[in-house]
Amino acid sequence: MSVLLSVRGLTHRYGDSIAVNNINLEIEAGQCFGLLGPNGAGKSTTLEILEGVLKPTRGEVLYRGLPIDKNFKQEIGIQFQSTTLPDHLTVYDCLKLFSSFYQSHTPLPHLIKQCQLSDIADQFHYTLSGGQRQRLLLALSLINDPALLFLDEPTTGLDPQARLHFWQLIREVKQQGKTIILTTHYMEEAEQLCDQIAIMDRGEFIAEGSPDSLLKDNFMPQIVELNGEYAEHDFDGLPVKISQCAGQTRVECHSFNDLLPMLKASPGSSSGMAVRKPHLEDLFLKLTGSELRL
Amino acid sequence: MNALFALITARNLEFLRDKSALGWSLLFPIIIVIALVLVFDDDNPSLYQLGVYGEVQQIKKISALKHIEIIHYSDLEQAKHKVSRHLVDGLISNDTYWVNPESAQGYILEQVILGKLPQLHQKAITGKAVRHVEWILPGIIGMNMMFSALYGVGYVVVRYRRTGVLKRLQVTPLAAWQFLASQLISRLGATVVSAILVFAVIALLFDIRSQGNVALLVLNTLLGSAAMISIGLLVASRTRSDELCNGLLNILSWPMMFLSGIWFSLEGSKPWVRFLADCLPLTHMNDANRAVIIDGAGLLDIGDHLLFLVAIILICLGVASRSFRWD
Repeated sequence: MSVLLSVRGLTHRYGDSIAVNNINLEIEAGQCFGLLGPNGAGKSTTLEILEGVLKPTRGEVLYRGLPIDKNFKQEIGIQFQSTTLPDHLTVYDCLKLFSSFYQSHTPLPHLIKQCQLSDIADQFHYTLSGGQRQRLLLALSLINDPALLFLDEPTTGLDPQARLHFWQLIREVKQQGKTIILTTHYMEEAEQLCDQIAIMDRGEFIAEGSPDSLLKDNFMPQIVELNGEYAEHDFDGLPVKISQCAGQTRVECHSFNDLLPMLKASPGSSSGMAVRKPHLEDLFLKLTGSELRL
Repeated sequence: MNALFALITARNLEFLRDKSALGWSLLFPIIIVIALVLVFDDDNPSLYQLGVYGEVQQIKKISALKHIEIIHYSDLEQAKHKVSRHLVDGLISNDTYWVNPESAQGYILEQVILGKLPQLHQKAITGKAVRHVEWILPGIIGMNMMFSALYGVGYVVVRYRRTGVLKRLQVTPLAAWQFLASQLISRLGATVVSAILVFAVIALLFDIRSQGNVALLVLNTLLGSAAMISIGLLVASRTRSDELCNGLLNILSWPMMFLSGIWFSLEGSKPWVRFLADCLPLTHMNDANRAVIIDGAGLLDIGDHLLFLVAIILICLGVASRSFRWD
């Protein structure tokens, strides 16, 4: 696959503080790339630079191998985390307005069907529910049939049903071969949708790769969560990794069966126990820490 | 009560911490009072206006009198026209004076002229006085257009910026000039259509007929409105604060309220006041509209006013689109 967007030595400063520090990145065409990180990690700044909204202090962004120019806007679609639309416009009015900005655009009936807006096309946009509004904003970002789609926390604030529904829409968009750059605080979302992710902290990428490979590289195959606090010597030299969090002990192991003797010998340890595979949230907390960011 | 107090405190903090708005709220009334005192604080208001054409010997015999304002004219026909329409009470040259026998003010002024400069020959000029409604209508319409133009675009663009509408538009291929032009054209349609409707209703009610070409009136109104909308767009091109925008628009609209000849003519006022008035687009629109409605002026007669308005439009739109800020 060809590289659609690449970033070299990207740095951005706000006064004396560095928001983004020497980032390098390549995103292949057709990929869904997830940019994850705690609040203040530099995600928004990075995203704004990639979108062409913000000029970096140093470094360059190449689209199809060339510096981004004014035609870049014809080829991208953006769904901001929150967007205000001009007052007193219906869903259809909004689509018609935004379609007029582009040299060519997706036929509106097709877009309305794709984003399931048929029933609300005549409603004023400010009367929509959270899920309906996000579908409208997604439709606006798809209006020019973009090759590259930026989705900035698109499901924040949605209920679980609306979120699942939105994920399905994004999967359909992905199947059309579009490249997607997604930021989200929902690790499950990144796991479900992204082919590649990068975790950012303090302006730098601290992990990069596919969710599966990152999990494989950073965790043993299974995680057992036990109530109470245990130390490594409680496991009789078994190959485990122990971490404590909120009164619980998290035990990484090759197989749950390895722990059975210890659990039998320690009655009560299995109460509230959970066995699962590691997921991105574990990785996120492992790499960025569990303390509250101020 | 706690909630009320907390809300009052929060609003006070919001206001006090917005330094620009706070500055305007303090500075604006001071500026307005100083400006009004400078422009209008005249302890010897004139009762009569006497036009003077050319060099008039012994003019001091009249100019030394109180309550008579002397206005110098370089164009005799223009001066005589003013007398005929009761816009000036009398006119003198080196050997002649003109008054309108139908003007009460003119009659009194004639007695003064005869007493002080008896050697001058009398010539009468007849003509109907300009009715007050004819004179004030273009000014009132102009004032309405000014507020609609300045605030109609100023507030909207600042709200768009503050709420993020402009940020969303920024990532589309839309250019700043396209956005500004759309605001200009949209508001222009609204202001000009409403001006035409108001003029039509008042003209029917008070039997006002334009002496000049109505198409010229429409052209001048279009340009005047576009000039003021362009100023509004310039003000809003970088501003994020509603309150700062309000302050800037106030500082522009108030001088136009008083100096653009909406309520009274500034003819004969101090030169610097006249200069200030001439810098304001509303002055040019009002003067040109009055010239067409009252005097039947043609395109050439109001050409300088139209050119001024075009220049304001080009400069303000040019600077606004160059300096426009989306976020």
